[in-house]
Amino acid sequence: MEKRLRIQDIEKYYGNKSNMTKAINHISFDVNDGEYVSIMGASGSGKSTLLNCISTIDRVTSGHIFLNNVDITKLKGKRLNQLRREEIGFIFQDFNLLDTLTAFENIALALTIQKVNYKDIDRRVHDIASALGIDQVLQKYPYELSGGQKQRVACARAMVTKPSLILADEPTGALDSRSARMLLECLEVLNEQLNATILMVTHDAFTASYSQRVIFIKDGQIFNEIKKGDKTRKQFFNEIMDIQTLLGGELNEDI
Amino acid sequence: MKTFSLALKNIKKSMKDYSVYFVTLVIAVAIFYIFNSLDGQTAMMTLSKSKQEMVTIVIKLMEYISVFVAIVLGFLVVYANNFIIKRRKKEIGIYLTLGMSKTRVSMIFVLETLIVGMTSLGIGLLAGVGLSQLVSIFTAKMFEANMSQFNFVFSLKALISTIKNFGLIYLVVMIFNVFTLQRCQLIDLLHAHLENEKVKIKNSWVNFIIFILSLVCIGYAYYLLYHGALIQFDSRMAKMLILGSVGTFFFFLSVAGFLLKIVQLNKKSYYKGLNIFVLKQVNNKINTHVVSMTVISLMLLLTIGILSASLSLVNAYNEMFDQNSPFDYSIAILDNNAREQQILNNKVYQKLVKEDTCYRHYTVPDFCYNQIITDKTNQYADFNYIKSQPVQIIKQSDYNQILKLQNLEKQQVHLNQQEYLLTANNPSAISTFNQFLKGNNEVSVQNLKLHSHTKKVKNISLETLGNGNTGTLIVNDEVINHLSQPAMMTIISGNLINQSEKTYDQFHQSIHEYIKNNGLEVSYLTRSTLKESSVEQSVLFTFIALYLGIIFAIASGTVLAIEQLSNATDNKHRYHILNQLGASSSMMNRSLFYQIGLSFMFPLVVAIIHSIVGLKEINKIIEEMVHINALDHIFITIIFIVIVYGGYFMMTYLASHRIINESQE
Repeated sequence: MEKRLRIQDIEKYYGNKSNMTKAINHISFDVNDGEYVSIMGASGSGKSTLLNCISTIDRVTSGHIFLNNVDITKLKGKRLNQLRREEIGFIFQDFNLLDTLTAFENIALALTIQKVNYKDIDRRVHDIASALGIDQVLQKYPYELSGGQKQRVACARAMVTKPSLILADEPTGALDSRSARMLLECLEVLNEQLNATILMVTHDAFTASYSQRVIFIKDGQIFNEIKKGDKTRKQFFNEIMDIQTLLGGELNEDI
Repeated sequence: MKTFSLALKNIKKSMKDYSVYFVTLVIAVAIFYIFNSLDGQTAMMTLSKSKQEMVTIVIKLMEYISVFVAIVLGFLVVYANNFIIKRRKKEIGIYLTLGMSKTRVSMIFVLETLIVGMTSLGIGLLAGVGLSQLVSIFTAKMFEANMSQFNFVFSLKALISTIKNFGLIYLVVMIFNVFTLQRCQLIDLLHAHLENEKVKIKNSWVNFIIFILSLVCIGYAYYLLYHGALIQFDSRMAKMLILGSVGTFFFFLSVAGFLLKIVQLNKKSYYKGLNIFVLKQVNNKINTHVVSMTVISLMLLLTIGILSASLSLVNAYNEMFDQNSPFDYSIAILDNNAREQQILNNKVYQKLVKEDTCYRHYTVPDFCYNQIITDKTNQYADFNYIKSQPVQIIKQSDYNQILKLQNLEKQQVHLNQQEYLLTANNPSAISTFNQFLKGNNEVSVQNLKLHSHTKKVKNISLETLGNGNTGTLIVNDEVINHLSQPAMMTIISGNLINQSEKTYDQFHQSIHEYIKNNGLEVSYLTRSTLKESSVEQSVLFTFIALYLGIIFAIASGTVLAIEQLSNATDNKHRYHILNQLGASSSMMNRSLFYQIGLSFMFPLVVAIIHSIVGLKEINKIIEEMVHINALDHIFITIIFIVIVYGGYFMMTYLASHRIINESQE
């Protein structure tokens, strides 16, 4: 299977020589085409830094990140904007929808920024909206939508440009459990029906149990990695919980 | 001490975001000082006595206008300050949660106002004193005084008045701030930033109806304007003003939504780059700030209106002076005892006068202007009074003598006994007389029937008597002899040996003495007196135009700028999202430019349309006195607006640009 994302031995340091924090300490892993991967870890484990580096919002100190075999750590300026625009779709914890735009317009904006032909825009927005079950709310403004609806609009916006990779940063963080479940089902739809490659950062085991593989990070390093395989979600969830306990247990030893 | 340093730090922080506010305060102080310092500016000038009187009048008027200006500025400062406070509610909330007492927080804000006030006063006064050196050159030119040497210009009176007025304004601001703070609820303060700007009207049909309603209101206001509401200080004028304002309000309430709908129909341009974002942003901005948009637009209308109309009036007065002073002097003796010889034989008079002519005006009972005034005239020309007045008649020989003295010998006429020539130089008189002459132009004077020699009024000024020629009939000398009426008045017109001020002074004095000694019913006017009153009017209107023009322009610019800037933090978040969606920085800068540009353009365009319509009508009124075009001055006005208003736009854009780009590392 083709490798969509390859992360080779990346490091990220903060601070100066006398007081250095290694946010990411030699991490390597791959994400296959059409794979749905979660990254888990406690706060401060470096998972958000990792996501920022992949999304090119932050730069790595050393190492390489290949997206579709292009080293994105080497990209600058226009090429970087282009990559962000065309290859990556974002889903944020706080939705990041524009409050002055309707749901439809929020989704369409991602396309117009890419200079997609205006004739295709209506169709593409409606396609993705019906896939995510939000066709009924397209003409509403964010303040009229529920949290779950907002998050699905955000998903649609991330997906409508058909990016190579969808990055989700704590997508269920601001949702109640019912909305969270609906969103995760949406991501599943994206992954299974539209073959989206998703990389999600979360600290919530339930959220992570929807993915196919979970990578655990601790102190900037990969601690463990488990695959769902043929297990049911319940089994996978329990397995994640076990490792989390292990992670927490080790954390307690330090005290 | 700690409170003080906190206040200072706060100022430094908000100064970066609200530098526009500070700049406005400085400009306002400087302008206020400059226009109140005319006494200082003119103190060094060598002015004649009459000009000194003029200066006193101008200074007095500026003082009165300054009261009005101070009120406008007071509102502006309170409004701007209130807006900034609103945006700082979260900050206030944090102070309170940290355990600071309300009094302490109030102290911080009082100190802040004090520091900002003192600094802006200081800098503004320095700028004002500096600029008044330059302005005094302009003032000297306006008064036609010669400034032989450079003098440092300073007016203590203006300084005190500026400090007093702005001190009062800042005091009001302080009280206002404390009052706002005391009334605040902590919970509201902390959640102030969560308030959403909601679009007021969502239903596009309602929006469309309001839009149509606004056009109807404005249209009806225009209709009233074109039907004389401008000079009728009654309910019609009030109706026009109210309808115009309400219409403008409705217009801003609905125009953005309406235009948005139209743009949305054209998918090609709507779905292009960040257009969706820009249009919705502007739509939101205009929708949530309808009242201030209306006020800004009306203030811009005032700026354009006052500037253009005043500059036109200045032109009108200059033009009228040129047209109505064909001779250096004219003396009208209002009895028919033929005592003009007493003046003509006067030694001083003979010494001062180079050439002169003396003639009589005749009138015939029952031969009034109503015979030659047609009723098809426009609304601004009021002929009711003049219609009942007897027509002024001059002998052809006298008329030809007048022409000779005006070096217009070629235009001399030879009328037969059945003819007359109608002369005038007042535009409204000319237009109504022309209508009469075009048709059957027969007039009956006693038992005589006369016809016009020409089909058009002869445009000429006969005497230097101020109002211009509102209709004088020229007839063959024999006609006058036949009528055998006594002369109505005797006119002496002529030119002096030179145009020096001294000659005029001597001339005025001799005539004045003569009148006093002989008790004659005499009125006289010289070119120099006319010139002075024309200069006085020019100076008055120029100063009023510039003073109020600048004040209203900066007021509208400031309100817009502060509203835009106070939203910059919200915009920062929005542009951050755009950046994450992959919009390039050039794309975002363009979007910001359009977003702010459109917000500035909307009220300006409305103001320009209103003012073009209004000035066209004002032009008609001025044209009754003299032929000029008020719209000519709209270009000077537009340049002025572009500089002041455009300056505010640039300041706003640059500040917003800085705030937004801060976020992107």
